[in-house]
Amino acid sequence: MTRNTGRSSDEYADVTETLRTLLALEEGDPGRIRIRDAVVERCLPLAEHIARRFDGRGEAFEDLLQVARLGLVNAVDRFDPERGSDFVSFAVPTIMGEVRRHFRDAGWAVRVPRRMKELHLSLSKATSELSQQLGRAPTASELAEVLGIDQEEVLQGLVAGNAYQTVSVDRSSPSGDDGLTLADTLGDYDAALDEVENHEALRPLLEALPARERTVVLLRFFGNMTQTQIAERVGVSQMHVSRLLTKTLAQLREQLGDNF
Amino acid sequence: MAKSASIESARDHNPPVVELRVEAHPDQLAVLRAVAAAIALQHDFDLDTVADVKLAVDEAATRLIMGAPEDAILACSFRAALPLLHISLSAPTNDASAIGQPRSFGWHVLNSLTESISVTSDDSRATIDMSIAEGSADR
Repeated sequence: MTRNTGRSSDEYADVTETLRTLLALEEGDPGRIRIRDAVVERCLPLAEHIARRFDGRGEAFEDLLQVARLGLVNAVDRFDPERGSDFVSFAVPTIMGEVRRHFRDAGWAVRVPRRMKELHLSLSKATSELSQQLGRAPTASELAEVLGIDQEEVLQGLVAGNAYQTVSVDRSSPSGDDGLTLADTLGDYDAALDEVENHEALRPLLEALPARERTVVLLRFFGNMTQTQIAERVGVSQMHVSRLLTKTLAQLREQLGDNF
Repeated sequence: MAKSASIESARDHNPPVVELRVEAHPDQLAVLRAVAAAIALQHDFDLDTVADVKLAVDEAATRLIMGAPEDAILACSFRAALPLLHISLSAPTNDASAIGQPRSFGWHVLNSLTESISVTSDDSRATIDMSIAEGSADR
């Protein structure tokens, strides 16, 4: 065995075996969660490797990484060793599928000049760096200064972000839980939710949202956090949070109809 | 000196207004969002507040569009009196109840996004006035 060819499968050869051990345990055995977490952690470089392959195509790397890790968690949860394949051959397409879906969801709705996409991307990067430094979201003039460009150009780049397809109501994630271990569940917001008159209609709809979407809505509208704070908590960019919020609100509006 | 001071104060009392009239149709929401974002950015609001402005305009405009008759015009005006950005949206209505109950989830959303918000409506027209403060997302 040469060192380089072993990269994909052999490097993670133990994982298939470990997952077999996991599945041998009873449902609800605390060992399951421990093994699952360990496997996810063990395979994080795999997710990062795939995220890197898609880097530089107009999406922030931190978003790609997050999405790839999500794909990894899904792969770990869905892997069935009885089907005869090893874990890596199952995980790679699963993770790539998740990343591709992200590109499709975030796809530009209209043709935006390449230069504009690049500008948008550098704005996205600078936004997250500045947010870290300032402890709040930056303004257009702060971004202009850091990037050494005109404020007018910042405006253009950010408004071009509106060309992102933000609303697609018919496409919602099929599963209610995407495996992210986000601590925020509806129960934490009972009191705040009770303030809303139609909370009985709202609750099941929130419940049915994917964990990430639910968390973003809860933190923004019931947890009083800013988009930048939420971005940091969830591990994606502020622009991504903004997109998720717009999309999810449109979906809830559709579902609640006159009751929204 | 005196002259420039009086110009300043005239400005204070009458800040420039940007007005936009679009068909009261969901297709126009993207235009409204883009203009709202451009105005907030121009006044150097931080990006969190800019995002709030967009969501609030989106939400308020959707409500008015739902209650508007076909071919109606939605009028939207933006007036910055820093630190506040006042936004007023208005459209003819044949169903004032589409504006919704004050304690619904949608109104909860609008209340969390804005500094102040009010609705006036009669049989034929509904108006939503709201203001968002610079840096308010951070409070």
